[in-house]
Amino acid sequence: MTETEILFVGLPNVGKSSLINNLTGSVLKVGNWTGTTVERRSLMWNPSFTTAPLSVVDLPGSFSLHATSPEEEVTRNVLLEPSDGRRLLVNVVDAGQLERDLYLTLELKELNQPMVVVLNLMDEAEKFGIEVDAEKLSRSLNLPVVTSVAVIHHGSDEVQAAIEKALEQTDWSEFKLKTPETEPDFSALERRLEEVFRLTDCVRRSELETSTSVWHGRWDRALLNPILGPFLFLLAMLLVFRFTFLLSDPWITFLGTVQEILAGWVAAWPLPAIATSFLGEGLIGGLGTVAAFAPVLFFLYFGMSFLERSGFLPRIAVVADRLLRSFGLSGRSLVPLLLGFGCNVPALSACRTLDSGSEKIRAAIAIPFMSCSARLAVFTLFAAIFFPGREAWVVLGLYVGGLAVGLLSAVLLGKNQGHDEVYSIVELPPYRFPPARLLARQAWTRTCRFVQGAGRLVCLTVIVVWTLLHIPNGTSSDVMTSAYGRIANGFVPVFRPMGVEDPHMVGALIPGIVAKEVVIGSMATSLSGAEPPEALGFGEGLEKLGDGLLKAVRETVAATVAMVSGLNLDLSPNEEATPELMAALAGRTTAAGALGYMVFILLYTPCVATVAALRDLVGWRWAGVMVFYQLAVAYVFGVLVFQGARILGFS
Amino acid sequence: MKLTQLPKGALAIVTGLTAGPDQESLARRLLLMGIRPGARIQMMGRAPFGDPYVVKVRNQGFGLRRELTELIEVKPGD
Repeated sequence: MTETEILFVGLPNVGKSSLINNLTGSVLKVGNWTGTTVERRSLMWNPSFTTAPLSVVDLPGSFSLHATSPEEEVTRNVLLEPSDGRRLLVNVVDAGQLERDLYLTLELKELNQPMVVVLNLMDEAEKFGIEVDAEKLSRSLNLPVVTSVAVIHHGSDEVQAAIEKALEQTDWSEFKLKTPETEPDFSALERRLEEVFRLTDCVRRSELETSTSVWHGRWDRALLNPILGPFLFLLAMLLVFRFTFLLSDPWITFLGTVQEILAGWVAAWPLPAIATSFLGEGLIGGLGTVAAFAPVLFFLYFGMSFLERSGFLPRIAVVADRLLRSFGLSGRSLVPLLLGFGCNVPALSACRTLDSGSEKIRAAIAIPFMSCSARLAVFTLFAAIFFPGREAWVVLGLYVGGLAVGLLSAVLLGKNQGHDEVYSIVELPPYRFPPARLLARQAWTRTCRFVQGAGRLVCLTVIVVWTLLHIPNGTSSDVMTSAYGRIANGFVPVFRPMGVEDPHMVGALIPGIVAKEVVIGSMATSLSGAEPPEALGFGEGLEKLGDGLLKAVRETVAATVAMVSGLNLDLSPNEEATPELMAALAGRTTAAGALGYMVFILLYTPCVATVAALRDLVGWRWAGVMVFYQLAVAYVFGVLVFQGARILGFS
Repeated sequence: MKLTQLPKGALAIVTGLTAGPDQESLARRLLLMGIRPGARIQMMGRAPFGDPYVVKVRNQGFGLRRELTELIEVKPGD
């Protein structure tokens, strides 16, 4: 039997992905943001009405078959490629935007393929005062038409029934694919537009210009206000970060506990010490490093999905556009840049929806310089030791410095990558309130994709670092005589011009390439030696696991309450920064050296996860360029800042 | 008059597109987005830093950079 394909086609942001999610129960990324689907994606669907699975294809949003963007080209190519199997087109149409959407419907109809039209977003159309006569539209088009509100699962059964009916009743031999004219000609365009107007007038029962319409709300007036607008956006971003860090913290701690328990169980096995260490610190340690990313990523993705789906994102893009144009970026890059302060990984994946390739490259150059939360942990520790009382200023300076270096690098390196799209058009969809369940599902999928994608690379690098620590001694009790220690010592002269002469501080930069989260931990290990994991009985471990889980849940609830009740941004060093560690580090460099070191940490080679995200966004070549470019920039600025600070008398 | 000259809150009818570089594909894109001759367009204002312009066509809002807004010709009035 030949394969049956169901192709979902429609304009951007009309709910194709949502509809597919409802029908098939899978999770495709959805957003209230034009261009969520940028490539062809297909999945298998086993509906109850047929035994053979159907292949469901989600095509990128297109205005027309005459492609003007890479995404539209994907859609066009898929639609026009000859296929051996059976094909059903499902054209998803925004019921409130018929005069915009029906043009594509007419073009699709001319392809002479079996087709079902879904009028989606019926609820929103009603809010605008638009009522659509689906039956009349069906008669005029001579195609089956069903209505739905995909986001609340309304009408999914009807859509499924329509697909079932179409598949059963179609005489497939009647439908031979007709290729449209390749050279777009204006007369055909005008003919279709006239037809669109005729159709819309005939099926629309009423249209009132309602002043209560979603778009026309007070919100937009506030957002376009020169003072209130930027303030509201900053507040929104601040809330996203606050939300992320308050809620992810208990879960990072919990995952740390899980890692301890697993290592404890391994330690209880009668294995040679080296094997216990490899399993406990290398393998489980590597997995733990990957897992530690997950909570931050999950909550950041959750917040980002909210911005996307609510309709805030394109408005932020409009408000910020003027500011970012000076750097060859557009307003759409603002949210990715700001997300970078949380974690560079979701920031880079947020760049996928940027319009032009040149802007993507420029954003990808700037983002790794944004000081992520993992770097913040290092700054708070060193600032507390070397600049007591002035921590906040030091940290603020580093953030601003990172932002400046990033944007300037985007201008310098991205100069030859082509101009930005002057005629870019940002569509402002109506505000929509996204259901939390959907946001959580979407955040979960994205987090899993990270764990699967970059996870292997991170885990592998942790194992390499473990190996370096254990050659040739076989234990990590004396770090400075291991291969790791020797490498660190070998690099010390290189870092002398930066005021850093301590092998422990230099050494910690190596695992910092894996994840900046582990810099402090590595310093602690190399200063005092690693504590072998404590052996744990199975029951003991389970008990600890239960306690840890309870604590995480309790703290999440407490954090939610705290977040709602008030904002207090505190810069207290985290738990790893014990007084012992602070005392051990105190004499190891000068204040100027600490400043140079922090600048180096801020700017140097992004973590492995970020490199993987860079590769996904702009390819290996640019990822490689960034690794070396950042190393060079970090070194130059580290030295400059140290020398400058020394002259100013910070010693 | 140019769309950029339309005061905030005012309504107008789109009359055409001034020739600019790459006009054909630009005209096509605008047409398909609903910004076409005869369409009613409302100036909602400008972003806080003066650019882009925010306009509304039917119930759809758009952010258009000055370069593009200048190319759109309108006739003021309902």
